[in-house]
Amino acid sequence: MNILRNLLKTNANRNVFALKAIEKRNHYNDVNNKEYLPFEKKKYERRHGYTPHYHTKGLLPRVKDDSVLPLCSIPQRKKPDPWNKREAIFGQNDYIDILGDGEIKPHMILKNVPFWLRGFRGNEMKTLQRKVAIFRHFRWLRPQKLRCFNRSRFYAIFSRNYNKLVRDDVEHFVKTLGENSVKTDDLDSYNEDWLSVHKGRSSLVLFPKSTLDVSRILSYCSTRELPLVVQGGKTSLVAGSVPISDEIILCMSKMNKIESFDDTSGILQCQSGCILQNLEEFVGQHQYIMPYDLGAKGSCQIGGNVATNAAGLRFIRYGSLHQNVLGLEVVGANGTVLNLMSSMRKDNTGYDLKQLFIGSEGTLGVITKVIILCPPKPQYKVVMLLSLNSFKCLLSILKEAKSKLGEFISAFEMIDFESMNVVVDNLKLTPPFEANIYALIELSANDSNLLEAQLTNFVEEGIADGIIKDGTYSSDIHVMNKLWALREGIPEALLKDGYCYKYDVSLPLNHYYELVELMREKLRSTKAVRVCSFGHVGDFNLHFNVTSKQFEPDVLRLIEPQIYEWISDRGGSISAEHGLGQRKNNYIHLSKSREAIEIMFSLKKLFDPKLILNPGKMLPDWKKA
Amino acid sequence: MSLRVLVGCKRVIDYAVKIRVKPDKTGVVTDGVKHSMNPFDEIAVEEAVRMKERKIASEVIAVSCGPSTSQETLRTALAMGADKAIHVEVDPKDYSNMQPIHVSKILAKLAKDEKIDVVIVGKQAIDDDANQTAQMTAAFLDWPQATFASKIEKDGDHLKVTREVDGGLETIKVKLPAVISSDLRLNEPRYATLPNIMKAKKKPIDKKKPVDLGVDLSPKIEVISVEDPPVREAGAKVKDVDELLAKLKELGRI
Repeated sequence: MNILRNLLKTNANRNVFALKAIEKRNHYNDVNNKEYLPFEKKKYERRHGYTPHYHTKGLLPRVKDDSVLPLCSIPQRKKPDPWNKREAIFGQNDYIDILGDGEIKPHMILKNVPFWLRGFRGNEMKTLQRKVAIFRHFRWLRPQKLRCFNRSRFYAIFSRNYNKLVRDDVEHFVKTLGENSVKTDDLDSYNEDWLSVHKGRSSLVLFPKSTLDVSRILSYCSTRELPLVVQGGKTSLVAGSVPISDEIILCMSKMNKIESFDDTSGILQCQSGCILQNLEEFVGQHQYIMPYDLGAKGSCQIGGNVATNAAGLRFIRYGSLHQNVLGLEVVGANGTVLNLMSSMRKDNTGYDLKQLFIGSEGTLGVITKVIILCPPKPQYKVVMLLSLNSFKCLLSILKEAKSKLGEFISAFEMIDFESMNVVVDNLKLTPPFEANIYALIELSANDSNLLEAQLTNFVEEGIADGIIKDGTYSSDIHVMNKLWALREGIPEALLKDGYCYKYDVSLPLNHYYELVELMREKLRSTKAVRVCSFGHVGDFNLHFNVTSKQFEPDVLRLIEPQIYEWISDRGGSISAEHGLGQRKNNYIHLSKSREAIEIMFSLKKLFDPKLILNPGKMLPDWKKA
Repeated sequence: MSLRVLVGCKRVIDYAVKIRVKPDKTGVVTDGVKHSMNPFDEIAVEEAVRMKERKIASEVIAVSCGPSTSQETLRTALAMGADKAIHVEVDPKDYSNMQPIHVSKILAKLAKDEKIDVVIVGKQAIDDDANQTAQMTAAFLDWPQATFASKIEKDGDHLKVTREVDGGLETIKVKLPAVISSDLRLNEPRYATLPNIMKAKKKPIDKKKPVDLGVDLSPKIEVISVEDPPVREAGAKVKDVDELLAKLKELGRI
């Protein structure tokens, strides 16, 4: 202000008015002068609450240090230090193969890398994964492309992570096992699965005759890193027992000795290659039965049954194999024989390791011997086929039967009209009557009079309530066989339709038949020939089947994978008794939590560190091991 | 004219059971073995019931000779649709010696007593394979017989029966009353339905003794020994035709 005044004074009061005006303006602008302010004015702050991370005021602060070179100059050459750590280890792995005895491969010493990534160069693996995404996107338009690609992908993984079978290996096996136990030609029947969908290209089948043989094979394969697949009766519906690529097939069919049977306790000890039907006949002579029964009993082997935890028809009465298998002998991946042969029903000493192998689908070890508890044979058996109006009736019958005939029920099966039509059309069998839903109930007891009395009571009430529309029962063996043939013939008859989409699921009973009705509605105007279902309703297990004349991608698109998600949402299981194998292994997350799968992987790594046992089965593919 | 039909049903070891011969070779093991109705008799019962359904027959009576367990078989026949059953109670001891001739005498006597027009039996029982009962019954009654029937039709006062013979099918006409034995392809037996099984439990079963019918059960044939069929010998593999010929010559077959 003073400066201004002086300035104006020197101009000899030239403009007094101007001065006054300026003073007046300054007077108003003076914040402290409250006299003239109409309201209190706060200081305006830009971007209140925000503190910028960059320099806001003026030029950037200058560095005072003169030693820093200006940017435009060429940096001084650093003297290389050949003895720092990075330089010192550079290329050390390149020579491992040359310097060592040839056992260690560069990919083996990679750490913190998924096992399937080891041995892939650069972004080769990434390219593969990107291709997976692309082909998955086009899976309906170009299904064959995806299938071929998947196969080549597996071959890529196999060739990098496992050694190739060479002539020396075959000669070694011939030397240790004998010529009869090695087969190298005409292997189509061993490579192809029962449904003729999956086919491997193995070139070697081994037939061990004893536990020692299995142990020798495994220890050799483990040192050579040759993958193996264990094969029993090859009746798996998820292709769990056929090779994906060129794994060695370990066929257990020559290990078929029954070792001992205790007549008082019913404890059977046998080798794992025994065929179920032979065992059934053997224990039948001693008035015992096997605790489970399957449609495939003519060819399936007990080792495979245990490894897949097969359930079948007598489940409702005798429970699963977890309850009935008392002891196992298992050969581990490195050839060690693990003896878990206890014939005691009560044995609380430490972890129950045998339970791990039951249902492991051959990924943890090879089962060579089994001790199983056989229940006594019921003297009197009745098979009853009921005709019902709806699934609701079936549920009320199930409830009634459980309360009135509970202790006698040894099988409770559901067959719907479509499934019955399959048998009628393709196998020329005749059901005794027409129905919407059939219930096939097998009852067994030692006292025929008691059973007969209870059964009469049950049937009379069922007819009086109007639940049972029609029905028949018989205790004559040939009639029972005829009735069972209606149920057991369904899988065979379905295959005669052409192509069969098979699903084996567990569902809560209130959603049990809903799935079939939903799918029937969905597939109405497609090329699907039939949508049918049958199953062990007593154990909440549904076998859901769709058939078409040949493979139709359109049909498959409508079923999979929505069906799995639907089931998972309702608390069911995507695989009830067939296991996961190589068909369903990538859907495991729908039934098991992430943590559980992690533990499965760590178990797999613990039991089989080189991952040679049944690779690509049960556990999901693209997962860090 | 509606006919009264008598059907014979024998209780035999179920054909799905594996037969075991007794160690002393006097017969086969029957204790604790599942029994059911002879399949040919089942066909006979089915045919009788069908005749009733076609209104050719008015009443179907099932007969079984044997120990008290034979009643199960009769219940099955009743459940399939027979109206009435007669159980000719035979002592288990006598039953082991019972032969087709005794059964034929019993059937003949019953046919006269019950004023029967048609007797239908299975062509043979699967346990002794005798194939005699129908023929002998016809002889005792002095009635015409139509054996191995594969089709039965009513033709006025007669029955037209198609038989399976070696050269093909033979159709004969028999006067009533007559005796018929059923062959395998006559029909396919039905399943007994639940309401019928329940009804069968309330249907009457008459009990009679062979003595009441005036039949003497002393055996006419003696069983010397019962033996297992010879076990099939294991085969051998040959490499080529020459070796096969050499082997056959060695065995003296060519």
